[in-house]
Amino acid sequence: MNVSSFTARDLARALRRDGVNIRIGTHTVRIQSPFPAIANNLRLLYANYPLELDAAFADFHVSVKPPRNFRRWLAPQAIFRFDSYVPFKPLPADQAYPLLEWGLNWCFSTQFHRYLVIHAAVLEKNGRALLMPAPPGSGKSTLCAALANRGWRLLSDELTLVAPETTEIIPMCRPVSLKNESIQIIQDFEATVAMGPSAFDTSKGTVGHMRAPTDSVLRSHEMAMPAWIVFPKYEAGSTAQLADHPKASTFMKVADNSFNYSMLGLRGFETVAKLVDRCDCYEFKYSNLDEAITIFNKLSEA
Amino acid sequence: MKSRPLLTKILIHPEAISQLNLNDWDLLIRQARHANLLGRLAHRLTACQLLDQVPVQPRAHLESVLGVAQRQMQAVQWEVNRIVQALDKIQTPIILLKGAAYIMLQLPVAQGRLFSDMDILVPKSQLQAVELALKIHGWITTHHDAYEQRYYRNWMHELPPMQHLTRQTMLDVHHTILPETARFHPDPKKLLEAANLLAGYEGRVKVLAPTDMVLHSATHLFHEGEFNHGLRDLTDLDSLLRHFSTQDASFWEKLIERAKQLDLTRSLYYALRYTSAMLDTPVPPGTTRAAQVGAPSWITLKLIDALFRRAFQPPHPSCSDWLTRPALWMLFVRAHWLRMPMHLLVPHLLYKAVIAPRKKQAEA
Amino acid sequence: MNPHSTDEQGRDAKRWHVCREYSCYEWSDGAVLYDTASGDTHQLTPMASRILDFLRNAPRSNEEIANCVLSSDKTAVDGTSLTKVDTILAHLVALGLIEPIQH
Repeated sequence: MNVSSFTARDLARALRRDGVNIRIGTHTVRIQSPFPAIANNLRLLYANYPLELDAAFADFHVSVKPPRNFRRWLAPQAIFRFDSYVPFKPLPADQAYPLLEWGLNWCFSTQFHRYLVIHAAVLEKNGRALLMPAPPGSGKSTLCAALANRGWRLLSDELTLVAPETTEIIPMCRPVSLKNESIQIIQDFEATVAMGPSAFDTSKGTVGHMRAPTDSVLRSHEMAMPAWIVFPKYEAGSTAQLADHPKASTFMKVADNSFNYSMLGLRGFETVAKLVDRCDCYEFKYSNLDEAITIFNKLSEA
Repeated sequence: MKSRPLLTKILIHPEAISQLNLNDWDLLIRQARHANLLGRLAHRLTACQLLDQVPVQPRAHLESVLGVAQRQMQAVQWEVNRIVQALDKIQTPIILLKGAAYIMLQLPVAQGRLFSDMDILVPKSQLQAVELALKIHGWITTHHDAYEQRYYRNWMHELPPMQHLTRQTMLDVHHTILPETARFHPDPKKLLEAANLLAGYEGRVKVLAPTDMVLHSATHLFHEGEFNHGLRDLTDLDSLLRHFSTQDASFWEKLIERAKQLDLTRSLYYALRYTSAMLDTPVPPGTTRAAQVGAPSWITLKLIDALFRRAFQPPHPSCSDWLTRPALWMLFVRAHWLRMPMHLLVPHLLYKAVIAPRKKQAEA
Repeated sequence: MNPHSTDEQGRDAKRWHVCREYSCYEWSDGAVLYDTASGDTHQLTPMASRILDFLRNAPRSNEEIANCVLSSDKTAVDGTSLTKVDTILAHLVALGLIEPIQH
């Protein structure tokens, strides 16, 4: 049973009451929220995800609800909760949906250390995974969204989960978060994408979410072995170019971009070292998405 | 509030996990996480060789926290190493308190436990030298507000918390175990005299004697104002009592005697009462009788029972009732009443309630 | 020509040894190292990594270190290269990985 099996009314009602359990790869998240925007966005962006009303176990119980005080009505706000923890300040109610996604990122990156969690996009082709660690502003999400629409399976746009024992990548496939101009760029790039409504004036500017391709969602229980680590950098007017990136430096950059590297201690060190050892490591400059995709496709065929 | 919460049941009888379904696991993990006992739970199950029986989904959360706890142990051991190095020129040994002592002694209570701060005890006469030496080695004082500085230095029993500049670790330097303004404050000299040397540190580092470790933990718990870690701290006490009583047949006797010497019989009375009632700690009947010397009046006891039985529930919505919040608030006020005389208490509570939050907002 | 001036005699008497346990991975551009006591991670240049490796088995003097690593690099043992070795040794001391043993 998927999210799309439920009528809008039933979904909204379940969310208002005991919540719904959505399966994301090998994890289950229980979501509760009375906000219509959340019900609508879940229906659009999580349409193909398995949903259970009565799942016995959820990895994370989250909710996005209005405050109990006057901010429920005056300049209304939304509060994210992880069970009864409130990790963030309230946001304006019209940012309720991005708040949910940011909250889920927070859960996976700070509350779960079974895996090494790298701030990186990860996609797979021909059985091999491409990791793109990158700080905000590097164009990683735009590139990730483009690749996902050109035959690359999306494992995650934001959080790469690496199993310490094997360096296997565990998918955590969720809607791709896009900001500002990237939203239009991707809509122009692929007319068939399903994009949720944009939220304006957030701390990151205008934010929108692109639904993950159906194939990526259906295969989100399939792990992948890492083969390439690429540091992308969007540079206007540049020709797409891959350049070797030395491994010791790659290690330090990957560790710096990992949320829980230091919490894993020696295991974290070993995991990143094995990962870097296995992978071909590059830095990548680009300005044109089609050129970029051609280069990555060549990489996957080599 | 009559039946035990799931978390407490499983901590006492880990083998009962064989009867749990996935729904139960969902609740158990949530209660444990809120009580800061996920690590303790994970460790109990590992020690009893039961981790493999845990279903895959909840097991990932237990494995997650085991890794973190192990890393923390390493971090504390290193921190002790750095503190000893920084305080090399100090004349007297440093006494490690609480978590740092548990880890360095490799006590069962340290397993799976997550610690945030380090606590050390030094003689009052060495306090200035210690503070200076720490500053030279990269620690900085926090709580720069003049009021907070006075609060810690004059009224409490410690320096304002210090933080290491590069490691970001927190360090509390105490010169006694309860504030001098408190109604009961044991003579720190007695604690220092009875302290034992920690092997491998050439006389530089000591830990409290077992009875004193228990009494210190009990005194803090029963003077505590905030109980989000109440159950966790109670399980620490339970673990210490079980461990030390198996190592020394006369431990219970010594504990009673020591409580009398240090004037801490009230805290010990509560410690034995609540650990045995809530965690089935095997306190011998003779010890329970002897501890009566610290009991309060029956009216006080009735009230305190109602308050503490709520405070020692897992701080999760599944375990609270409409009286939980008022109970916690009363314990908060009680804690301050115990630590400070009335003429200091009221202005202090006012400061905390009104002025401090405004200052924080202004800084934000 | 004797590359060591007299005021560096004191330094020559020093022997260095590794005083910390660590885990290490090496690649062509250098190594990464995990200090098992402190939990710190460091990146080392290829030469620093070679020096550390050389010191693992037995304490060595500045001269022995210089001769070993510079010769494998086919670099001349002169003032500049010795200063480079000194700088690396100072860096490894600052990281807490090596310490001197005085004769």
